[in-house]
Amino acid sequence: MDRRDFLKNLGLMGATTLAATSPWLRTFATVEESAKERCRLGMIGPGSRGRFLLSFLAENPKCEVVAFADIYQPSLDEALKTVPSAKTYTDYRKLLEDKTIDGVVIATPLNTHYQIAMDAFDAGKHVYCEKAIAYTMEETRALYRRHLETGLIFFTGQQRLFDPRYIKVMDLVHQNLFGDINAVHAFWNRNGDWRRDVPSPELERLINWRLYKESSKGLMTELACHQLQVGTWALGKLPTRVMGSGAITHWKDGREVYDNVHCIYEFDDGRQMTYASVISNKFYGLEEQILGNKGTVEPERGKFYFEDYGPAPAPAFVQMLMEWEDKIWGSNTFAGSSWDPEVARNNPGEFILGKAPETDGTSLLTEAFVEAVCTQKQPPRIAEEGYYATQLCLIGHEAIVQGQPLPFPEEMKIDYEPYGT
Amino acid sequence: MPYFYLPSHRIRKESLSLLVCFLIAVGLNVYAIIHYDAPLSELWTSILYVLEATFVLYAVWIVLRLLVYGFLCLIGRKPKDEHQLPFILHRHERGYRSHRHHHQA
Repeated sequence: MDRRDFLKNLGLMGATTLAATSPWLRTFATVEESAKERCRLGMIGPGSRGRFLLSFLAENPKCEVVAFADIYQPSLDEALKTVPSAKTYTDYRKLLEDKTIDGVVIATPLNTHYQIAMDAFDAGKHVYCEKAIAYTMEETRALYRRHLETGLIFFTGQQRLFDPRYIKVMDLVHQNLFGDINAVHAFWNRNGDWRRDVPSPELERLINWRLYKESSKGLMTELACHQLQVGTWALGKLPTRVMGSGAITHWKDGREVYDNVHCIYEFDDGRQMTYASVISNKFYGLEEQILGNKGTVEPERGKFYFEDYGPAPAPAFVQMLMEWEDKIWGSNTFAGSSWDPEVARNNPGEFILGKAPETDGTSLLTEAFVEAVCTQKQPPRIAEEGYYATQLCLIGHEAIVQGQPLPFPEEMKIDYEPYGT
Repeated sequence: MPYFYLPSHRIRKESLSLLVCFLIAVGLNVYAIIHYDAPLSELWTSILYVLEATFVLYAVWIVLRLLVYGFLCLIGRKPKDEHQLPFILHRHERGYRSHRHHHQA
């Protein structure tokens, strides 16, 4: 999906509305002015995710991917198939020494993000860093501060910020179309061992870095990071307390990270956001269910559902007779279970964009990064949303590890008005 | 064999009974509309239900009267109101009927 289709998809939403709900989209306001500008990017870590990003960057006429850095040669070879003219490095610091490179895209294992991103800022490069942006809360804060100090562009891999479904539905949520949002249920379920093929045993920890504590925090940093940001975006505030539990319950194959996690994020007004991820059952897939008293949103499915869906109620006279009948004869125990009225109805809902989803926002996210690098203007709120998304998944992981509720640390709050911090 | 003939005062009486049943049904509909916070338009959109209820109430009223009449006959007491059942004609009414038949013949 290109920018034109994207804006068309947002339909009747005016510029003012967009600016209020998703101000980072302002980055596209300059596309005409910067039409002749072009930026040069390097990619550090062209593995599977990196190459996915590369597929969009390589087609963007406003950028040129000129270099790749990776310690794994097959990844470099694969990336060169897309951009044969790019230089390759096995040490990312060599790439950063190239003064002609304006910015870097970092898609390496989690534990390396911090050092690479800090070095990139120090080298004067704009940074796009995949989520989660750092391995610890302290590193995350240091990275964000470095971004502020240098004034360099800082994007994180929160593609839902550029997904038309999310942008449109968040506008509706904030207009109270679905009533009071009292809870968000986010989950990501799949049935798979999350392993990549390893050509040689000594490469196990390098290739399957997601499964080991030294390089990843598992489901919380790799999956939850996306979805927790959706919850705070909908609720417009940060949770005050987090509790969680996790274990390895199915894939007992030597991995060190949990394959089964459940967390509750509690807000100061009692609202709740839950997060669950189980990778031994895929029936419910992934979703962020935004639960209002007038309706429900399932943005992954691209749909919303109103509570008052269903056949019109019987006339009052008939309702009264049925109630009398029920009082006289009692409920018929063979008519159905007592919780039958609570069983989810077959409500088909409505598509947020009028049709099934076609994109997840990644192409727009990369396009926005290129635009920001060309114009050297940091779009509002995008770094902050990425910052808090990472902090939320890290505090959730910490609550699981410690086995006790943890408050959101005051010292980790940044100046960010939309969340009241 | 009974005659199925209703004199005018019996028609008035039964019509009044039917009207009372209808008013009760309308009253119940008004109560239901208020109780279930339903739109006022149900006053006329539910009129078929109200008419149905009217006839059900009227039928119940007939059955009640039949039961009372039957019970009084069983214990050998003459009902005070000989006209309480609409479809049973009494002595003088049968006579009136015979007289008319005679004239017509």
